[in-house]
Amino acid sequence: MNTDDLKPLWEAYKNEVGSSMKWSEKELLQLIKPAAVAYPWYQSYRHAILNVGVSVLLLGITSGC
Amino acid sequence: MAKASLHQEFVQLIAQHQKLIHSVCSLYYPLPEDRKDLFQEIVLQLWKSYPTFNYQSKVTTWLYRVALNTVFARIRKEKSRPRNEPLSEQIDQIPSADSDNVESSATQELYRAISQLSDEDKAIILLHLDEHSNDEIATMMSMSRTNVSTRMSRIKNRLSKLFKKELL
Repeated sequence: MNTDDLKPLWEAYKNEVGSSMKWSEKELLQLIKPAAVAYPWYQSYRHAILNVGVSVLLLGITSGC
Repeated sequence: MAKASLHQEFVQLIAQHQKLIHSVCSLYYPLPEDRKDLFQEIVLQLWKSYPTFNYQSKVTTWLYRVALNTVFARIRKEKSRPRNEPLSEQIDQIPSADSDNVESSATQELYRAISQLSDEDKAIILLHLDEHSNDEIATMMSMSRTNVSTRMSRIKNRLSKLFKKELL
């Protein structure tokens, strides 16, 4: 079998598949750019809030309240 | 700024050559959703390796190498975790590139014939049909040149039999 005869067919197949499954540049850009995750405002203060909470609790227990 | 231009440069390159990636996806996966998943996986792998790509080899060689490595890695992963439905049934259900797209019968026959080859043989014929030399194929597939030549002649015989069968 001479595969040279198949080359134009393969090119046609690639074009058909390429046009039916085409992605826009915008879609491609969205794929490679990691999505920005929205964190709630208190997320960055959670350690401080936890520390204060635990301190208040310990203070309450030790002082007998 | 530099990163933004790198993104843009990469996106333009992929947009220009995306039909090559789609052809790889469609040859290995008959279902549109699987093809879409694989396309995304390949593009992400290409993006990861893009900073080290220095244009010393052909763009298509790099694209094929990454795409085929991704496909083989995925297939290996799937073999260790088999699917419920046999693949042959899926191929019968969705024989062409896209179920909505009516392809010419000749391209459909070619697709059907190549689909019946083994995973490695599909890659070899794919690269051969895209004008890659046996040396390039050997490098990309990590095989010896002799092995590629032997397999090529077997693939040609197999394809000619399959084509005759399809045309009957």
